[in-house]
Amino acid sequence: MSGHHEVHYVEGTKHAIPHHFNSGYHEFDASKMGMWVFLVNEILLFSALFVAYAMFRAKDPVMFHEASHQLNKWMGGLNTIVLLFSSLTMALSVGYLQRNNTKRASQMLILTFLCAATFMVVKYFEYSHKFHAGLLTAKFYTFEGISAGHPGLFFSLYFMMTGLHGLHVLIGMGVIAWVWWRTRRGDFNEHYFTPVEVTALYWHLVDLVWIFLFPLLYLIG
Amino acid sequence: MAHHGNHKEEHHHVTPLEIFHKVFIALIGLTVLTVVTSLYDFGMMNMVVAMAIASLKAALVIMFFMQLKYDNILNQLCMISAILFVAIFILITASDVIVRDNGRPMRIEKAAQGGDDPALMNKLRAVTDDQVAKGKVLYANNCASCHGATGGGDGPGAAALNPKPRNFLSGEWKYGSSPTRIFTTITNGVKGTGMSSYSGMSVEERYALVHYVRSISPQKSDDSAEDLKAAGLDGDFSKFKPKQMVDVGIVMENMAQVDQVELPQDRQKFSDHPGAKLYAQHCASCHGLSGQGAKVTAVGVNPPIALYTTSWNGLQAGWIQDSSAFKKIVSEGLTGWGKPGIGHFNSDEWSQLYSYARALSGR
Repeated sequence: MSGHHEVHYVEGTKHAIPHHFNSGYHEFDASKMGMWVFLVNEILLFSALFVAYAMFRAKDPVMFHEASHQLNKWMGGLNTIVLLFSSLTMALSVGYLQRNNTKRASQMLILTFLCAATFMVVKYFEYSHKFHAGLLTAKFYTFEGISAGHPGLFFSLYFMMTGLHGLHVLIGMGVIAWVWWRTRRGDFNEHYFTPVEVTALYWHLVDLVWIFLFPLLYLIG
Repeated sequence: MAHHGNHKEEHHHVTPLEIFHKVFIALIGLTVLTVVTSLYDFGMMNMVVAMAIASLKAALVIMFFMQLKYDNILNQLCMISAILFVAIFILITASDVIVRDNGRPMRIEKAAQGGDDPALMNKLRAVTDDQVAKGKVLYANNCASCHGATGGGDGPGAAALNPKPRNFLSGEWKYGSSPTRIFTTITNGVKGTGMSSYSGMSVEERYALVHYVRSISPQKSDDSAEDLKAAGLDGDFSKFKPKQMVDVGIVMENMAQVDQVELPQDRQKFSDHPGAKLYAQHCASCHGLSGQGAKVTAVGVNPPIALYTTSWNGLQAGWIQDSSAFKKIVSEGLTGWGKPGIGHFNSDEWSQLYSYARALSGR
């Protein structure tokens, strides 16, 4: 290690390009690929639950049908629209940063955060209804309005799938708050917005999972 | 120094903002569509339509919000391989269970529509000593209570029946005396009489009964061409396939449950009821110790048929409010439903039995 390293910054920002990257674009591509590989992991994580769902639903379609009627499809539908809208605002925040409109970008991030919070509030009401009605799993399943099979199985899948998804929403809220704070601080411009871009990719995946959970859990027949 | 220039695309893809808006509107439209289609019943197609719409929505999010359409091939391959593997996991793991017919035991009136195997019927039409011997045992267990131990139409159940059960010793036949005619009578029962359907018995068992009652009758005819035609035994029946079958595994499972019946706590208070003994003797074997029903009580193995009784607990049925309707059903049976007519009760016994049955139904 002879001599000194010259430090390069992305144009107009305080972001120093790590020396193992050729350029800011090179770093951007590598970061994004890292996120895509992580998203593949995420998809495969959820796939285990989707396989379990497919197996048990095929074994007892009548029970799944009846148990699904205990979910409120309007609340689920509302949450679907809220998440789709948050995906739009997330995509727009990246779009505005690419156009150097930091102010609009940070507004879009606030909207995205509020949508995520709304989703969790609706989820809270749904969960508390199920806790009170005894729509739970194992010995905690005390509901008497479903005649077919073992509906506790449906609700164990419901809580595992929506619970894991809800955890992703909570983590997303934290990351969105962080990139919003950095956007406000002026860290990003049209040349450097990598953290917002990879956060957006993550957030769209959270939306993607919900796009499948909604019909599979709420809209059976 | 910062730009070495060995990257082909040194710029970010910038999507026009109105594309995001259009995609969002499409996603909302598809969400409304999937909710609306879920309100209608298309059977299996509901699932297919819902998954098709969800996949379309996912494709829009991936292509435009995540901009994979404009991304490099490496990232595209990442995502495609993930989706491919999810599909493989689900389809192969669930391949057996998805295509499996979740056949549930069907009620006897439905099962009977499948019809009997004409080739087998044709073979069993001819009398053998073995069949007569088998039929004698079956007759004693299933028929003698009304038709009499010797076939004289004078069993203990005959007193309450009108019309009276057939006297096989008289040589008179109302519905035909040929093997196929008698077989049809046993299979379908005779509407409006105490003779109920015994289609729950196998073809072999019913023909064994046919040959036994013919053996004790002084007068009988052989199958005519019309008899065979009426029973569908005239044409080519080599390709006959029974339409409705019950999974033998399910039948065995339900047979095993019969022995496990216990009197529920809230029903034990009835056990000193005067009707309890009558019920236990005449009804419990099919309706369960406390009228809970739903247990297999008669099983034919070929074709496999399970006979079910309904739970009386909370039942809304005419007989619960009407003792004469109760008496009619009990004494005449339900033709085609496998409910035999049982009628040898005196008036005290009738009222005790009625009161007990009402108690079991929760009244």
